[in-house]
Amino acid sequence: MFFLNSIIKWSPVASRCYSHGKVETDEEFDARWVTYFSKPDIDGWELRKGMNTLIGYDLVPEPKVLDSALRACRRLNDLASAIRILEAVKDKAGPHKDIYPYLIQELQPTLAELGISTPEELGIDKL
Amino acid sequence: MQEPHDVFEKYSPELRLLLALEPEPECRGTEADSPRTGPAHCLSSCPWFFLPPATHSRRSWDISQRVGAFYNTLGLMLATRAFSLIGKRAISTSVCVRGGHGVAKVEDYTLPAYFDRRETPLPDIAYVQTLTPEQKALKEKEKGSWAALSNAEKVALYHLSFKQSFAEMNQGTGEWKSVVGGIMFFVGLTGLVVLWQRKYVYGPVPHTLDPEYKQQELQRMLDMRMNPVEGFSAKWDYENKQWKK
Repeated sequence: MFFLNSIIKWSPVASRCYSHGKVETDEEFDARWVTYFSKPDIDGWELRKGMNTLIGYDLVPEPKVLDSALRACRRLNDLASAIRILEAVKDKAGPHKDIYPYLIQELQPTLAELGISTPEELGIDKL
Repeated sequence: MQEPHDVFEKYSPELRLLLALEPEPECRGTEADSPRTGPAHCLSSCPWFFLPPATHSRRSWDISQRVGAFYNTLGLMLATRAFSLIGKRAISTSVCVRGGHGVAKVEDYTLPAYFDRRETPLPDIAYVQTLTPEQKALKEKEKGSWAALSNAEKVALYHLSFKQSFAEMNQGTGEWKSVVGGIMFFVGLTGLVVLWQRKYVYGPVPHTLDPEYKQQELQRMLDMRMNPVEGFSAKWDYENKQWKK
């Protein structure tokens, strides 16, 4: 039993075994999505497509990506989608209950600036 | 990102007409005496199966229209070529429905639908499609500063676009209680049926299950020393005529 420890190598959880091809770093991923939502004349379809795709990934988006998305909602005069995005990321965090409060804390300046209420403030996070 | 139509600038006028890049001429219901291989130009009234499936993309729609026109032409050319092999017959020059039928009715199920899903937080369409004047006024107010909206107005705007909140859509139904209850009920009912069967349906058991018969069977097994090493007879004490302790 003892010698097995030296034989089995525990690889880091985040690595992937691509045979070739560059791996996109987290910063590049975030930057790409921030750029996507920052398009000045983004339209409703692009916002929905971007958001649905982002939620499809196995991650909770960074505050800066969400900030960019919320501002896109503002350009589209769509408050409902902004609130929905906040609900969606809270749902996306799943059992990790400390992620959503962190996101709200980071997004507080943006929420205040744009006048977006959180689902909790509006009471729609409860039945 | 380059606009797609740049690619088509270089095409000849005939090819542009063929690929439906020019505005379509009116559909005419002509029946030709001989096969005609003219350009196809009834894209809007073409049966759906000649066009590629609709992508929910505004940009790729005009490309798919052109591709659809191309498919149509291809099908037409193949069809006319096949007929010319058989003989000259009167065929319609386009596979589209013509002669007053017009554009096919748009079915409800082909239009984008509203869904409340965890994995697609922003559905294709808003929940409320036709707005009352008050709702329209609220939408106008939404164009201004959102801080000026009251909480009730924000919730109203939310429910214009979405049917259920995440909390509502994720709530359990309690259906499992009905399922478990149903299972237990039917198992119990089956038990009653089995009991009734035993009493009223089944006949007597064979005589070989009588206690006296079983005793004789047991004696026979011991007499022939069944499994004498580790099994049956090994447990019988032959001297004292009893089971070994």
